[in-house]
Amino acid sequence: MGQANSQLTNEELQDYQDLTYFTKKEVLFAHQKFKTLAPEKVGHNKNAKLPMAKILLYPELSVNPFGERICKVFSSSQDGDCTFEDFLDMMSVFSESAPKSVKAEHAFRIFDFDGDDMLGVSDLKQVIQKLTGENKISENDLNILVQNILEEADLDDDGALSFAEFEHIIDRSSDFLSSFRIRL
Amino acid sequence: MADSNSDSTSYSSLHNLYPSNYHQDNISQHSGDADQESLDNDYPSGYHHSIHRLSQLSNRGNLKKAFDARTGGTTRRNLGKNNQKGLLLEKHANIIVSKMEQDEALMEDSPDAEELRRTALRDMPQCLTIKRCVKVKLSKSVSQKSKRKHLSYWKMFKYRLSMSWTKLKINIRDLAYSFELWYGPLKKIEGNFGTGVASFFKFLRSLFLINLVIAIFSIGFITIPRTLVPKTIIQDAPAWGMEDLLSGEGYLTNTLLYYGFYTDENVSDNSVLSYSMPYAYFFTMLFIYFACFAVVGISAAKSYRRSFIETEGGLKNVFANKIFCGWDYNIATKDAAELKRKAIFNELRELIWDFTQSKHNETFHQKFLTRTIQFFMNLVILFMISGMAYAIWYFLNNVPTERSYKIIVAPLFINSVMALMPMFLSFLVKYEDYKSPKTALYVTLARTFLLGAVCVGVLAGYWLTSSSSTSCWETSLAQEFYRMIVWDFIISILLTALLDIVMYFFYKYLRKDVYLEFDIAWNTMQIIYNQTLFWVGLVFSPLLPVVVVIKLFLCWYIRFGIVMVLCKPSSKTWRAAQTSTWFLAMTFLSMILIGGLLGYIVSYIPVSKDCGPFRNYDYIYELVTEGVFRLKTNSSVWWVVLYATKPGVIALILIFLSAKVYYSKAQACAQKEIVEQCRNMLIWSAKDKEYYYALISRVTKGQWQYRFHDRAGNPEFYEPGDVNNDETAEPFEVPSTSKISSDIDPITKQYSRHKKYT
Repeated sequence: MGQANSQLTNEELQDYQDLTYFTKKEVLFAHQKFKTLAPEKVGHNKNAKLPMAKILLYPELSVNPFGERICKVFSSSQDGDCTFEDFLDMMSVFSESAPKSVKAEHAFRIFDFDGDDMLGVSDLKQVIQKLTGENKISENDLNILVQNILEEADLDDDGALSFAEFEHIIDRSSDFLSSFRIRL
Repeated sequence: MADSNSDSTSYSSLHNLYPSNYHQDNISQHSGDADQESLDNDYPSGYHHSIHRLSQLSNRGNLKKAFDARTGGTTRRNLGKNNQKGLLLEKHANIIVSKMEQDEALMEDSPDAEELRRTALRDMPQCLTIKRCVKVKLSKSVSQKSKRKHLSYWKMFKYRLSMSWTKLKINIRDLAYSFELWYGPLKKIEGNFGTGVASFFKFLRSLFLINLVIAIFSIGFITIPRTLVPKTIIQDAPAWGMEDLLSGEGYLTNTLLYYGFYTDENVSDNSVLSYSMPYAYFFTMLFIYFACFAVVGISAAKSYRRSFIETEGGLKNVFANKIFCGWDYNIATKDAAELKRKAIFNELRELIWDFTQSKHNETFHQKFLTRTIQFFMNLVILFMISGMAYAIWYFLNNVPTERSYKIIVAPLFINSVMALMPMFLSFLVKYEDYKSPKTALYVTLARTFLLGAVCVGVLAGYWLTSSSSTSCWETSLAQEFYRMIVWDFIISILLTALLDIVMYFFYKYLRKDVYLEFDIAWNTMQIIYNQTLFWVGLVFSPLLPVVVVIKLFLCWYIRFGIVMVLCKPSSKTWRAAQTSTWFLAMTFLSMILIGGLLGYIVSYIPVSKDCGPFRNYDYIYELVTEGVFRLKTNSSVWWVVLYATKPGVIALILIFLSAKVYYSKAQACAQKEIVEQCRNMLIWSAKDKEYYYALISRVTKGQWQYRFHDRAGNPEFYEPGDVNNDETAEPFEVPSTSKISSDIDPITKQYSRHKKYT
């Protein structure tokens, strides 16, 4: 793009444009945002790996109940530390132009706390607890909620939601696309 | 799915990494760890994936193979496990590349395949570092392995065209991104108030942009050409006064603002090239209206499709939706997040309460009572609206013609009604006991819309019926709508903003913990009303778009300021997707009604004889029939046209169209049923497989246990693969039939459960 102040080369930009849902300008903008999280470190190395605490400074992630999960899901080292590429990947999935199926895939991973590829009872309970925050939801209510979710969505009756079942819910939801989105 | 074996062997061995906590909460009826290895539920996910990806990419060849190639044979979710096993990213990339290389369609050295590779890689749920690695390797192997096919010139041309088209699209998006209007404020609103409030501002922005484009067209093709014509000097033109801005009369009457000022002359006297004002006026307006109709119609249909059709049918996941789609990821401030948590908490509690309470049914008596109340309320509101319409009509007809008094009062009255009535209506609806707040909201919206439509209709009707007695009724009509728009600005934007400020300080003074909330429905209805006024007025006032653009521009900043400074996020969730569909649908409906009104004006209202570009014609439509096609009134073509537009013929066409719509609807319903059946069949066949896998593993497990007892060794040392290698060693222990039939039971139970759902 020939931006004088850009750290990214033309090929990298082209690559990023091909592999994400962003245009070159949006990639550059994302890099600026990434840089504001840790100006010095990123200034030295454009693809520096930032610790999760730094990534969580991003306003949308800092107040998000699943902020840490999101970082872990998108981190290429699985521990929540993100390079610029991981960050760009994250923003691309949360962007407006990412398709529902891709978003659903990542949402599933975010909600899958124990990483067993199923949303089990403990996963669901954790999701609800994170969502409601300090407003303590009683154990009894929690059980009723989980039981209802499973009754609605657990088609094969194994007491947990598989990805297919999860995607089925997402497919039928009109709100998911507008809510699972972060404006860059 | 049939050959997911290659994957599933490695996959199930991966599951051994989770001996203790894998499926710890699994209340499955199956027992034994070995069973669960094979029950790992990959089939449904597999078929869903493949359906999704393949529908986008290609539909030929071996489905699973193609799917494997495109997703790299593995999902991102599996990657986590691979990593835990210590697989490096590089290695993982190699796996994906080798999988992708198996697909021939993907590896061709043609622009089509290149595009396929690009989308496949982009949609692949892997991290970007791997994707880049894969991309480099793929392009290497593509250029090494496949020889370049010779392309015909025609194909070459097609590829070039499609490539440059994609490039152009990306460039346009790039450009649009850098010029996106009000990007910062919108992000701020989304961060502080969530998607609901932001949807109002987005709607406002898109109307602003539409009107801006209309303004450019109408100025470019109508107003500027008019300024090139030598001005006709008007005697006794009134002097300019500020009050003219509010009334739209006086000095403004004979300006570019209104129809009456435009002439029927040609702009250039050059006989070769001339610019005919009547044609320019007519066709520019026609184009504007059709373009608006198309834009609004398409976006309404799209939105409807997205939020109603695609999500319709099947089960209603009320609880799951609240949990999985409840959080608004746009929220970026602590306060907003806290409020959102509280809102979700309250909603969940409400849901639980509903769930525990819903056992008791309403008695017949109660039902009857609510229905009667609702019926009477509707009747009362209809009476109120028709009373209002009569009052306006009476007022317009019977007030003595001291104009200065009359002209201000009508818009003042109507706009006040339009600003206050919705609040009154939403107050009334609380006493009608509608089941869900959503229904109550839609009922209020429908009533508000009816009110607005009636007001606008009466106003337009008055000027059309008095068209014969007014000297230039087109200008008068346009003036009326100009006044309406200006006074709507003063009342529903300036005054309410002032009121909000007063209320805010009043609450602050009382030190009450009450905050203003932004009323999305009311605000959106106001701008829809404004847009309706504008679309009626536009036809006789080419400069009206400029007024409206300025109005919306100011409206944006006033509302933005009010929201950011005075308001708090709502404690209730706003279902942005569905409600904005309703708003779009209402805009479209108002567009259709206006279309009818304009059709009536064009074909049935005589044109004023001494003003405007159409003064040489009796009716506006004659411009097309006589001016463009030069049809004589008695020619045979004329008769055909005349008969084609008879009510009977049009009714016939309408009936035909309705039949067609009905047929398509029935077809769609039937197809939906088939899809549902197919889906169930897939689930069932997955269950079948699951069952057989369970049996097979039970069989192999029996043998394995047998061996284990013999050797008295440690079972962990034997891999399942090991067992298959020396089958000859031991006799095969077949589970007894009774054991199998006891296994069938839970599964048949599941079947019956599925049937219950369908």
